[in-house]
Amino acid sequence: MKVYLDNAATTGVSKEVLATMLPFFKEEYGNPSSLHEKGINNRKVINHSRQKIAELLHCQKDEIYFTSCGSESTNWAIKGIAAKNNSKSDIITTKIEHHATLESFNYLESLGYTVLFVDVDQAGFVDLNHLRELVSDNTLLVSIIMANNEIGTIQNVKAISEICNEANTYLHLDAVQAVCHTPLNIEELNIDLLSISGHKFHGPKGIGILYIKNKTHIAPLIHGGQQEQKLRAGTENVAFIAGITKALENGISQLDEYTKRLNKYAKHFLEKLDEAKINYLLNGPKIGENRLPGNLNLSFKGIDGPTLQYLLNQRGIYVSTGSACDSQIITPSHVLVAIGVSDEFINNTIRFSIGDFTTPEELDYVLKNLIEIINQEK
Amino acid sequence: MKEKIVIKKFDTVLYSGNILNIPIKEKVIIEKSIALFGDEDPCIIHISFIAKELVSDLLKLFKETNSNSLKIIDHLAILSFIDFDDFSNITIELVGGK
Repeated sequence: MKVYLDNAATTGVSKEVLATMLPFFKEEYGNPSSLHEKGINNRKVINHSRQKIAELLHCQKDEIYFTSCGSESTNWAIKGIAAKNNSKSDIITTKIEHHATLESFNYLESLGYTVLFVDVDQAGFVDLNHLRELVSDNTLLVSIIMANNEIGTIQNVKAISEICNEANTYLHLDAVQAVCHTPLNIEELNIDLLSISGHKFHGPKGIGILYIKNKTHIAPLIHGGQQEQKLRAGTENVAFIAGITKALENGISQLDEYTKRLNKYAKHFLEKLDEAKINYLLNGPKIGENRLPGNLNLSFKGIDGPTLQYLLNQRGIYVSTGSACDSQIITPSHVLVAIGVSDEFINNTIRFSIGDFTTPEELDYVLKNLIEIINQEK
Repeated sequence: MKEKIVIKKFDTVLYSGNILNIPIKEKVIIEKSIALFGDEDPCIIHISFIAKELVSDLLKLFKETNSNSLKIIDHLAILSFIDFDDFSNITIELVGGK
């Protein structure tokens, strides 16, 4: 049996999304900027897609910009705001961000911006009091990961947004892991920028979205064309735009059922580990509304993450560790370091990310093999 | 992979330690990296994966031969990845499980 439990890394394109995209690789290949039937038809597809996405996310259609991926969206949000706004020099983020944010902040620091890190607690939640202390008249931007890709923490965005609005600072949300996995209403959240990636919810890789609130001062990252209201040059990827729209529509329409189902699976998973007396630590919040459905970031005593990942792979079970390579050593995940996971557990971590296509039979297979391996390695 | 490996030439211990840290020829790592990843310059995570692949073959060999001690020269097809120039009279021993 092959079991894919790495859905936080990427998801497979759904049949419906694939079917939506296929005509644009064959007969519907026109350039949307061309003034002939093939082009005009595709312009219409883009405009309808933008309208649909705006309805699904609760914003205006001219606030939706298509990009190539979540990392581009995040880079554009952060660098684009900095390039257009010169009067403030503090930028704030957390230490549990995706590298797209952290590296963009590093880049801005090299240009003279002051990077401030707001504390997170042991479950990965932003310390709101600390954020209040950090924001000032000199704060240009706050960038926060809405739902953490490793430990699944879903932030209290409304509270963060209120603090940012009081301080009159821009707020960017990295919502790459959040969209279609937790409710998201842009109007209610009152944020300025939001990054999305298609392949995290059964859309294709190579397409992202950046929401930019109207009247936001932002410079383009990619120059050279009139596309996307002159803010993001490049011939539009019509197939993937149609695909991400369909994926978003599907994901949001089934979100309630999906959340209940995956939370049930995750609880079952932990119950079985408890029954087998496995010594593990659940990193991040407890299963429920503040944790991404299906995300189980677990550290096991006595077996290192890469070895466990390797042994699971040998049995057809595909999972992730949060480890990174730093020159000649494998370093623990920066997220786990930031939330203070003990030395005893930090290198022994596996992220199981259950997805929409995961079945109970697959989970039972994983549990059987996981328990067997851990007991063998004791 | 909790087992320990001891590599000896006669009574001299050449290596004793974690099975995942046994000395591997750099050439083999690069060849394997090209075969697995299409990459002649693997990062440490990929090197670590390759080491596990080689060690896994070694463990299978111990199991198949039903022995805890092997002469490397008798199993060069699998064991030539170990980083020694001359395999004559070198034995590899699995300690602490099979």
